[in-house]
Amino acid sequence: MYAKLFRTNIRKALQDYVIYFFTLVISSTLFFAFLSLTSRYNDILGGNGNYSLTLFQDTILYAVLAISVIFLALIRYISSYMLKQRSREFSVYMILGMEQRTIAKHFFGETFLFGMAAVAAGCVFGTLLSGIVTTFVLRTITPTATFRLGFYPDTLLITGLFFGGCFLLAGLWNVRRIYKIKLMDLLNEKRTGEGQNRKMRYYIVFSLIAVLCFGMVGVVLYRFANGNSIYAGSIPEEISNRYQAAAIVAAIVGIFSLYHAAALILIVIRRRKKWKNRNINSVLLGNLFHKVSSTAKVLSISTLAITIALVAFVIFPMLAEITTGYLDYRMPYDVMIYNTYMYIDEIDDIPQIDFSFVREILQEHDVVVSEEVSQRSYFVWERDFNTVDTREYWRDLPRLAMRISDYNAMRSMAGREPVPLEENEFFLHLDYEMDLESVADSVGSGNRSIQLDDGTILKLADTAVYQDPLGTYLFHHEDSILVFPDSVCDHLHLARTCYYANTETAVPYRLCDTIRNEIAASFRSRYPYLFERYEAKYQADRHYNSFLDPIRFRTQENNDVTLTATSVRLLGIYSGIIFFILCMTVLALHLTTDSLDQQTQYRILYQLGVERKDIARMVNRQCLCYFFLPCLAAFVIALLLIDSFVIRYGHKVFTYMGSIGFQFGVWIPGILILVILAGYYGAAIYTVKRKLNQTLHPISRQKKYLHIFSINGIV
Amino acid sequence: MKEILRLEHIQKYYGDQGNLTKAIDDISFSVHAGEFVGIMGASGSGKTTMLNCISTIDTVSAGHIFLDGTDVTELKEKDLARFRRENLGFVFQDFHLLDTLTVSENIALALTINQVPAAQIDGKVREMAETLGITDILEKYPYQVSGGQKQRCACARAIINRPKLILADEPTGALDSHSSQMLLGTMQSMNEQLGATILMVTHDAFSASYANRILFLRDGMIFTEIRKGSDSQNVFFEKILDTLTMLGGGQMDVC
Repeated sequence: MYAKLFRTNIRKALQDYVIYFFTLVISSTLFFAFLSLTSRYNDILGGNGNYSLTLFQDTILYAVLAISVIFLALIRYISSYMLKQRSREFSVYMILGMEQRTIAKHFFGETFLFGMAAVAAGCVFGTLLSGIVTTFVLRTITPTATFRLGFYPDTLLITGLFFGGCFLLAGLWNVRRIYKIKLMDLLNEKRTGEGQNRKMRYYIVFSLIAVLCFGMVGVVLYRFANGNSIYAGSIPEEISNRYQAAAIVAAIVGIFSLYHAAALILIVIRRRKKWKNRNINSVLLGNLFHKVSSTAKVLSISTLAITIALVAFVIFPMLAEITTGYLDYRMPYDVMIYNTYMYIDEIDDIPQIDFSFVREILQEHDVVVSEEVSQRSYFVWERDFNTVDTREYWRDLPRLAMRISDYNAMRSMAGREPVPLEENEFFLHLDYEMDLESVADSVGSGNRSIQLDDGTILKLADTAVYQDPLGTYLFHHEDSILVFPDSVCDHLHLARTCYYANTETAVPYRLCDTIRNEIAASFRSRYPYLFERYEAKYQADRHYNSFLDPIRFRTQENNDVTLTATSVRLLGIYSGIIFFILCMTVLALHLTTDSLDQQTQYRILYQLGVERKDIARMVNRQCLCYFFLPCLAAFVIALLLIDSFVIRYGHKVFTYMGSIGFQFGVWIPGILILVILAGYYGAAIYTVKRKLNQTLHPISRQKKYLHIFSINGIV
Repeated sequence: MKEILRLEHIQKYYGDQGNLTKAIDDISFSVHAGEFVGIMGASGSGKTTMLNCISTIDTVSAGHIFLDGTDVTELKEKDLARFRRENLGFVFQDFHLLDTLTVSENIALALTINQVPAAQIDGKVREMAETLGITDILEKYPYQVSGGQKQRCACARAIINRPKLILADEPTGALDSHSSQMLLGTMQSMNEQLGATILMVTHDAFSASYANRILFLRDGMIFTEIRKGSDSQNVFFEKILDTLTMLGGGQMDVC
């Protein structure tokens, strides 16, 4: 008998919680597919000499596991919800004498089996999806990669253990609850909303908090957008962090007050008799108020999670686009070595670096340099030289200039035409991220000449500003550098020397770290006085990174940046989908189980003479409000938060996000969101309508005639 | 008195040819305006099925039901809801109030679905609440009031539209004896003072004694009918008990 009960309950759970089942299938599919990227059996991603996937795989593994902890919350919430929904049934079992232990055991078994069946299906679909995800990753490295499927037993084991663990934990929690539950409590399970018992002032206070919080978000973003941006249109990290943290905290508090404010609006509408006393509007308002006030917490958490999902959907791919776009700009050469004088106290200690040793080291590793340049920068006004002790702030650095010959050599190596410069002229090379138009206007309207310490006057060239992407190393913590004729630079004091080289063959990924260490060691041995005089003094400074650092190789940067961008993009999609479907599940489940609870209400209305279409319309409106209110709120809040990122990154967002990147960043997540939304809403509304039709379905006329005919022996 | 309800040879069968169950087997009777008619019978005698057929919630297998001259068995599906809201009032054993609405909103619901102008609704609700003594609970939710108060609220909702017929299905079934008496008094005054025509299904002999006429059903047929006439309630109650004894079978509440 118990076995039959068990089977029946599983079948019933599959009918009533089909949406939850599919969510588990989708979740475990995604979990499996993403985790398969980290499988040691995934030989497709084996890598070659030019690439290393270790960092990528570690990022994916830990991030997926961290994000997936949210499943535990979902599984616990849903199984607890199921427990509440079945409290009456359990009370009957207890009245009949079934032991609580047996009930707990059965409930645990049912939910565990239900969940693991979904996970098993998820693993099958996950294997298929893993082929697509692996191909996607492989395509970022090798454009010719083709679709291939693999078998990942370790991923299968981790997926089973992870979800099994979640079900086990949630199950044990429920078992403990069932053990402790009193029969009397089960029989008197409260079905009314606690919201109806609250005083008016409760809603007024929370409404004020909501208004205050969202007002604060608006003010913070307004002030953030106006007054802090630099020429690059972006806002410095420290300021951005402060403003964004304030906006996020205010938005979170606002979200948790929002539904109490919505309840207040419903109370006000309920008092407007003219609208309320029309057809069954009073029932709609009553139901909405009951739902909003009694599930404010669930709605708030759902809104928050949908907001996170929407932000993740847009921001992660956006960041990935910015990162990959930035890569093309900042690594135009195969080898780049940065040099700084920031931690040198005596101007005469600044070294004139001969980078021939770098070429030799590369040669030793069979990497032949095809072209190179040592880019020298000079103090425009030597008197501006300052030290750590005399700087007002970290970036209080003097204006530098570089030689036109070095500049043109760099342009040539980056595949660009050299530019002319007269002997008495200069121009400005601008950071790629900066707004060229506004800088050009500013330069054009200002002083168009410059006087050096020795009295030389240089005029601004006709083409005053260049902005081609030549990397960022030619800037010294600034957004621009002046370019002078070589003859002028000959009379200036050297500030720094950076090195750029292109090689005949790519520097193998596995050799990058070795070559880097050798270059650093060689530099140390060639210029030991720098380290002797300044290293001990400044090595505790958080900005200190030697005098020749960073040393970068295009192979390594390409690998790390591309794969980091890919992992960011994948994790954005993963976290976005996971958060979104979890919320959709909770909302859809509330709708469908509500329809079960409200069957009596529909029947009463029908008996009272309300038209079936009016009831259906009311149910539609109710579902629309309940389902889309959190989505709408989340959409608006997410837009504000996304806007804060656009303010933060300024022109970068549009500079590095090409049209395809933009489409990937906005349209694809947008379509994905709409598909998920439509799928869950469609499934929920279908279930609700089906229940409604079952409730209101009278015995048909057809059936009546059948009865008559059968009586008369005709049929 | 004008005839409000007439049942003509109604039959109701469930199941198919191989397994046919007779719920109602050729019942005919009529109810006149202002009457308070009780229907009694054991479980399975067809009381609730008959009430469902009269209320158009269920359909008959054969026969006709006329309500104020309209044959409800011939009404089209799309006209049934309007017919119910314009002609019938309901009182159920488990109240059937909407938990998400206050008592006043529950009563007003019957008016709003009948397109009564919004401006008139409050006045009508208050007037009805005063008549039935539930003014002080109007702004409460159903779960905040007693069973008796809930049922009086259901009565107010049933009668506020002045329907041609009020159908009550075991209205005292979920109430204690004191609340039952209060409710039955309310129904009696609805019948006598407001002129409501009531058809009440009940197991309870004491509840039935408030009616003017009682039809006893057995196995889907009318077994007998008794009238109160000029008898006192106590005498009528005794008559009911005697009839129930004669009827036999099934369990009846006699107090």
